[in-house]
Amino acid sequence: MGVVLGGMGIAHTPTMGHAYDGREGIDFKDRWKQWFKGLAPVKQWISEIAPTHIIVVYNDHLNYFDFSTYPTFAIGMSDHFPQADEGWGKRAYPGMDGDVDFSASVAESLVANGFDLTFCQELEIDHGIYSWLPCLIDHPWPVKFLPIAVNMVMQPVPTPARLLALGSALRSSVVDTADDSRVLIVATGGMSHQITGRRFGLTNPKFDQFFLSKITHEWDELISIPMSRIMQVAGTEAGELAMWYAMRGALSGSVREVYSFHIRPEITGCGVIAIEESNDK
Amino acid sequence: MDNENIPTDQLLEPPNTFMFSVRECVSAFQLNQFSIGLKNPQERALFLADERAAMTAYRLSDVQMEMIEQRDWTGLIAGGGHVLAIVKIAYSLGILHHEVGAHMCGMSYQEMKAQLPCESDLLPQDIDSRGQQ
Ligand SMILES: [Fe+2]
Repeated sequence: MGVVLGGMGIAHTPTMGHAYDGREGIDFKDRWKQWFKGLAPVKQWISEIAPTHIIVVYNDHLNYFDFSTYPTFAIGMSDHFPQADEGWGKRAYPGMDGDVDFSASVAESLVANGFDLTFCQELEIDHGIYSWLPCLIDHPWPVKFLPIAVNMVMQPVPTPARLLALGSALRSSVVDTADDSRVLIVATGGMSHQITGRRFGLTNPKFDQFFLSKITHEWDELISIPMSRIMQVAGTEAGELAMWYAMRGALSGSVREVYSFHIRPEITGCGVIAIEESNDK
Repeated sequence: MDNENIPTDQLLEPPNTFMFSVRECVSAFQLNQFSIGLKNPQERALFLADERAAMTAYRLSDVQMEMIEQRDWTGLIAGGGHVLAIVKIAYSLGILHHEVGAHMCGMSYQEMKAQLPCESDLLPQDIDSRGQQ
């Protein structure tokens, strides 16, 4: 039987990775520094709870999948996930290791519970995970990863209710797996930002704080808000926040918020939340 | 709102917002596949060596090829290009996505940067289903 230790929600953006690496041409460096400093307690928390596996619900940004075939839900099955080249060359980090037995058990359980995912053998991982991972865990990563990619780039995308249900199915799959896995569930996306049109650069820190304040205990209030409404006030790419519902759906009713932090370094609201199960520790 | 030049209105319509759906995916399929292909270093090298030849291999239309040659990022995205695909053309040329964004705002990146942050302070409950306050 496996155990869900807790959940984390975190924003991602290519610039976060470039700023962390100290790449030339990145602006607002001081504010990025504050973000990385704000992540320190999360890094500490992850090392303390010491997960054996991290399930990450994320989205690819046309860096592995292209439009030839676009899966709504896809699961990485292999024992290694290389970093994707997004068009500027790879960053200096190793690939992420997977655990085939664990992935297969989770996949079997998910399909049995009504989530028919696309199985990926050669999944490459983009900034959806790589932009924050090196900030939170030192490499080589001492943990096995199970990435679940959700379509967030082409409408129609899955609904909040469907993502919440995915989270619930993920919890069952972890509890049902036979090995002694200690699992952290991560969702990554958002927060407020928009990358098309004349609204390019739009952020909404007030909305981001509202979302962070609700996701732990009043998430049902968030789920009832149509994603189009969230996109209207917080930018179209805030739609990626729907994936955070999968993280919350994977947690029980008895949880506590360990930590949260928010800042807007430049054109993306950057927030993080760490939520711990009270009973399963 | 800190910035009057970047609209924070709630309409998810052009030219303020370009939504991408399966319809654009069908209508601009070749353009997007060409752009996504540039994540591959070999395709980037081919494109940098001979832009026309690389674009012709993907059967882009004359209008699409001209927009790429003019670095008309807004036109490409308005024409069904996915922003995450189109930025790969920019990356290949050493241009960051911020400059593509500034182009959609009708200004240079330096001008746009001077106007950041661009901020809305509305919560979902502050607007109705048509995006009106
Ligand atoms: Fe994203």
